Amino acid sequence: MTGDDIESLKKKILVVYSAGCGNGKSEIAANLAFSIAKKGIRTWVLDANTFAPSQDFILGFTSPGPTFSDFLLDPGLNELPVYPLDRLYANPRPLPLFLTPSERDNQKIRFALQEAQNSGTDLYSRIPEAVFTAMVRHRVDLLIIDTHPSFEQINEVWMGMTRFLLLISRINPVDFENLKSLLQDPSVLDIEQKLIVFTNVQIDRSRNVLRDMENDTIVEQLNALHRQFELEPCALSCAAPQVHRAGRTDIHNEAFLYSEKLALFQQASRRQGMFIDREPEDSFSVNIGLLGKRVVKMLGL
Amino acid sequence: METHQAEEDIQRMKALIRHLEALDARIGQSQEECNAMFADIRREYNGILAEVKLQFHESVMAADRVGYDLIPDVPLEDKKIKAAWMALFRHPNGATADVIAEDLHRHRTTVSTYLNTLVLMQFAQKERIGHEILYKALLPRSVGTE
Repeated sequence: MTGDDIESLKKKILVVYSAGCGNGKSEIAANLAFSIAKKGIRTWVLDANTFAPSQDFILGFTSPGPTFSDFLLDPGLNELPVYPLDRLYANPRPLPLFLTPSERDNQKIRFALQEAQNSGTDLYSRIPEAVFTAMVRHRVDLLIIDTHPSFEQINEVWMGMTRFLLLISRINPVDFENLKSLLQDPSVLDIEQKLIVFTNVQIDRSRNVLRDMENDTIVEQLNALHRQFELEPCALSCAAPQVHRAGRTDIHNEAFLYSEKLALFQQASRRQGMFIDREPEDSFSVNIGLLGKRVVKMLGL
Repeated sequence: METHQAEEDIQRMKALIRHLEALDARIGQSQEECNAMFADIRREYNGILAEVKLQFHESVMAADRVGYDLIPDVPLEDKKIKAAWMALFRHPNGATADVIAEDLHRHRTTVSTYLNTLVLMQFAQKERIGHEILYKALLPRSVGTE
């Protein structure tokens, strides 16, 4: 691979990231990938949340072989396992969607990974080469990396590999403060394009998704945030040359309206297909479509 | 007749000697003028050289502080990867990811990712020395060093 090849591959990596948990990051990543793949764009989802993976569940896939967790723990595995989902989503035509899941069922592996990370074992130096090689082998147009905010060390790897960050935040004061801190992080500042997406998801103490806010409430809250002039100056200062040489921070205009339908769908033990496919008229699905269009445009796909 | 001829010769020789003495005086004078001129040129030369040296030093210092103007411009599009290469270039004997992370004020893992990407792009090489991994910047042939 030449330097130009890698420069070009880096422009095809989208990292989905957030300051906190439970804001719909994985659901957005999976549905966004599905929506973009439907346009014929070869899309690969890498579930980098090794402790609490969800992409296999959301995409309805059971891994027949090694996972991303296995790759990290076994230096003998030179290649990243990438599974095509074209047979799973074959109608009306095979979807050019790929998945690298993380280990869900084997608690030993999950704990071993966490222990290795805590002990400072080098788990990550093989990642860039393995990712770029897999992108070439599978002719990937877009790689979407679903992260976990607590795994800061591996997230630093993704920050080092991407030029495009999709930041997900809930619409509440705590997440807002966390988002502002995140936007000042040097690794985040280094990334040239950042798009902030707000969701209105609320979770209860058992981490169940509550019903969505009324549209009026969302509009009121977003207006209040704009009135406070807290996020916008922050986003602007991050984009200013003295703070960040080439960065740009945008805010996605459409907030994600987490519908009651989606909440019920998420809590179902067996999902039947993808939500945006099942409920294309739902506000969440409509917004995913809009976000997909924006991502495709921004990445020049 | 012979005496007259001898007198004439003596006079001619005296004239020639005076002429030679005058020429010698002119040579001495010219030499003094040239020495003065050479001294002026030397002074001017030394003044310019001192100024150039001072400006060169200041440029190097400025490059150390804010930029990398004296480092070859490599064709790396991604600014953060380029910054990592430039930081590495400043260590001709190679550096570890920790050293570059300190130079760039970035997390070690991020910098390690940058450096491993540079190795893939053939803009750097890495070698293991004991427990440490040492990275060295490579200059692509197409890039000038002046």
